[in-house]
Amino acid sequence: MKKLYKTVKFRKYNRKRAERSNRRRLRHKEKKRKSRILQQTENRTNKKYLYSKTYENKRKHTVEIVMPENCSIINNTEEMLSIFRTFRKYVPKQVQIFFDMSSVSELTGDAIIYMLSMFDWHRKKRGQLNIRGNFPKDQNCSNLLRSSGFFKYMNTPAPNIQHSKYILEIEKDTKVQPHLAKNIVAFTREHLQLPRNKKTKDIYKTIIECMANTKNHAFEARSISPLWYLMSIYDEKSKDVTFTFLDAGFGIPKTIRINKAESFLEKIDKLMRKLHKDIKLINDMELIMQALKGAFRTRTIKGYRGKGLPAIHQYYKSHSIENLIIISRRGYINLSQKNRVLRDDFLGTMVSWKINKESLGGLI
Amino acid sequence: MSKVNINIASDFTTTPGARKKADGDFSGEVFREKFLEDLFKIPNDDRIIEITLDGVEGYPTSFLEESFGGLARRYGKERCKKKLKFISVEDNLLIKEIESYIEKCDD
Repeated sequence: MKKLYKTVKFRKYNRKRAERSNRRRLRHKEKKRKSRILQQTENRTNKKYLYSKTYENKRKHTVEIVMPENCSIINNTEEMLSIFRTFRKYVPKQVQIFFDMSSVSELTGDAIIYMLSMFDWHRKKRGQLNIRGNFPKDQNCSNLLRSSGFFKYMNTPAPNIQHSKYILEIEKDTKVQPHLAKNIVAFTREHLQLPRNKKTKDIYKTIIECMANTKNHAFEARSISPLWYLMSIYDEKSKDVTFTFLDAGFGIPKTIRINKAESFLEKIDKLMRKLHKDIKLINDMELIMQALKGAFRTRTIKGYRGKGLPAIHQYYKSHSIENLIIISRRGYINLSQKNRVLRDDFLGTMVSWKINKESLGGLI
Repeated sequence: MSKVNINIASDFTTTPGARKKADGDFSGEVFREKFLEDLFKIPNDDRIIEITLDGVEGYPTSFLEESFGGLARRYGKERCKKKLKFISVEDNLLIKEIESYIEKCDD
């Protein structure tokens, strides 16, 4: 060691320099922390977004997205949509995205289907996706994920895949598939021990109407491909069958016919989006409700078209299907509870409904 | 007056599909072209077409509209009403639904 470094004068100078540097580092760290908190508080008070729990490791090029305990689009819509917004933010950065599902204690088919549609969409758009994840610690949720059919479409080892007689695994296609609709009705009839009657026919018709809507309206000319996803689950405890249908198209509010005033508002919305202002003048919830009630909203401008959604509404009103929920863009329609406008866009259209033998009891 | 019988479940399918051929299997367009249009092409053909609707999984609105509403758009409402006769034991409302599609075919 040089003699200079042992002198008292140098040691004193060196200590002061280290302290100064440390103070500067801490000051910078604190400033960064405060600015981050300020930004988050501002956004929260503005009620613009919910923040998903995300850990970014720039050095390893990985992002960890923590899925919430209640992993359900239908029951926890806002939080789930914020998570998928985060996912969409990181996809173009070509980092590895890790979905941490360990803390999930409630999982529904709609969340699994939406996740699959997101992965498919981005895979088609950008090629390879680098996605990893783990299983929920909760055994029921883990079993549901393994036997949902989700892993049929993922590159995953065979031991991760299970099959269950209570789950009709996710199917996806681009065309109307009557034989699949028939299988789903047979699955429902078998588990709920129903005879073939008008009510079970309405289930078949609802499924075909959903598929036909995807083919004819949800995608139009600009589409990548008109893909729909469908699964159904029989719950042994509540003795009901849940059906979840998703089309990953533009969504009902974007594909129905709008009048001149609405078209003007839509243009303002587009302009606001370009200016990064989160203002939405068009009420998607209202548009979906009008389409459901049979208002003349078909873009084909033919009166004999656009009967699919009103027919589904009719099946709900006649109690053939229960708990009808439709989510599309910023509209959340829950006919048995309350409709609302969402803060984030739901990409596509999800139709979910239930059949319960008890609720159909007097009607069979 | 002679009759032509068509049983959709046994002659065509138990799983009717959507509207157009491009939509997928067993569409209304295919049913109309394959089973109905030939019986309407001859102008003075006064045979009654008796269609049995029972035995299927269900009739989506687009299937019915394209089959019968589409037929009425091509050959006229009155001719359709005169020539078509429907039988449905399982669902009486179905016949009224089809008649409304024929009636409102031009809307």
